[in-house]
Amino acid sequence: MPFVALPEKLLFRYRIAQVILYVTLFLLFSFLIFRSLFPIITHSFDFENPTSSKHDLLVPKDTHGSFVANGKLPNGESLIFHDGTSGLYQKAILGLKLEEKEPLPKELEITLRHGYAATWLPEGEPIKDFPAEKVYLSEDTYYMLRNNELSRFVSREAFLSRYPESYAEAVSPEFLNTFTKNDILIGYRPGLLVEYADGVFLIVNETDMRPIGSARIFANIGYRFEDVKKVSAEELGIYKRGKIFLSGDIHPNGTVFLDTDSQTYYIVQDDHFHKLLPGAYLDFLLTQSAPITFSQTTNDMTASCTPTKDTFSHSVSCEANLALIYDLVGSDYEMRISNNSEDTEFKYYEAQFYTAINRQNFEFILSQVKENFLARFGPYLQ
Amino acid sequence: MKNWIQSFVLWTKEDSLRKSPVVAFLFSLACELLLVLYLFFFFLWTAEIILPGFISLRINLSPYFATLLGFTFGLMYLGQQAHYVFPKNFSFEKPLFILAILWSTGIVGLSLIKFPWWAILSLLIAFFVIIFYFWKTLLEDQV
Repeated sequence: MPFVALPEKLLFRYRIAQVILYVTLFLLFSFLIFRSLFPIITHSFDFENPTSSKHDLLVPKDTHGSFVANGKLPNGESLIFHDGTSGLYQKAILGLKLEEKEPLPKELEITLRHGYAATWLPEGEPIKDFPAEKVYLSEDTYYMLRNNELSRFVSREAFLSRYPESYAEAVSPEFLNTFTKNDILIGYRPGLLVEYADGVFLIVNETDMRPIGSARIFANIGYRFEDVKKVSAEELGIYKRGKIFLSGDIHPNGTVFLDTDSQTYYIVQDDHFHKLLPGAYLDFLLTQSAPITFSQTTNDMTASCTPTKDTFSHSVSCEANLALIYDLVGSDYEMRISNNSEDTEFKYYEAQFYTAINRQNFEFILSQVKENFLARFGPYLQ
Repeated sequence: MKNWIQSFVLWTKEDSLRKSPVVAFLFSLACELLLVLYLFFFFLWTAEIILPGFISLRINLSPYFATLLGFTFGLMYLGQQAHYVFPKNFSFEKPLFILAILWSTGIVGLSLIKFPWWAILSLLIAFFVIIFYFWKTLLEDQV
């Protein structure tokens, strides 16, 4: 029945209108639910407002690792974006807007890689031995001699996260008095995961830690819950709390990786990816936490596309087929804009990732639903 | 936007509005659309409460709800001007009422999980005050 009394002659038309309304709404809601299950993830960067907090993408870098916030792409250079995503995507539509006065670039290519961003860092010198600092033990307290100054370890566990027990040289207090002592407390080895109360934190350097955004991000960036060490408030108190660690962030110094193709270990150190040579140091690191596995072969696989002029705006865009790389291990998509034949300046970049519509993804989404449900209600169901 | 609203208000004051079967036709259809949009909103809201982030990461519910409220008040105003009872057959029968109470209890209960007791108390008081005044306004408008 209509909500308002209608003349008899309009009732039939009203029924038809009702049918059209409900069919349209059904199709619309079905589409919305479908899009919720298989979403299109849009991430962007505005070069005209590079400091805005609205950006989903971090400031791009050039091939030398320098940040490029102004959108300028000199001839022969590349702009490299990193995007942390956790879905399984079948394609990406990538678009670049330019100033009206700026001519559209003629030869441009966007290349995508999928993996862990840390594994694409420049390769550094191989590492075999423990860090060179001397460590001492005196009256149950561990010390490290760094730059001729003595710093105390915050706890025995913090010392044991860096060196084996036997590594510390037992000395008398009188011997230590010959050095200048500072107030710096030495904590856990950077790259380790620690847990306090309900939070899991990643030690990113000697003074900073960052909370991990969520359980999904934790798993997505390759970590295992078994490797998280419980720490006390005093041990955690020496670190400054940094911003939340997300999927696209580069793993910090001290993170160990294993290339499953060659069974070679690597460690992230000072923005370089160093080979870890077999020896006591590697054996020790492996007792601390399992390495994050990756495959060097698939790590270098790429998908690419050539942007062409858009019809309605002063921009170029292209569609990259991600079929080859979408289900590779890793939490990061690297997007490299290059091969420009002349200097260009962009004002906006947008990447749209389309979730693959297939059984694998549907099961992945169901597992996410189950994971969220258990995270919320698990304790009440036991 | 201001001109558009003024035109709408002037239009609703016209006498022909009250006699127009086309307006009654469209008003009735708009009420049906509103009802379905509310049901879909409640469905999304329930899903969001059970699985936090699952909906809100994909669809922003705030503009949806704001549009619904705007649409509701627009129709209420139009209904008043045209002397329609909004909605004419709006009544809570007992099974529907029990269902609404159960749903509200479930939603409120799930939303308050892990909150400290004083926050639960404050939120519940605020919730019931808002519901009371909203209900009162709705019933008064029907008289």
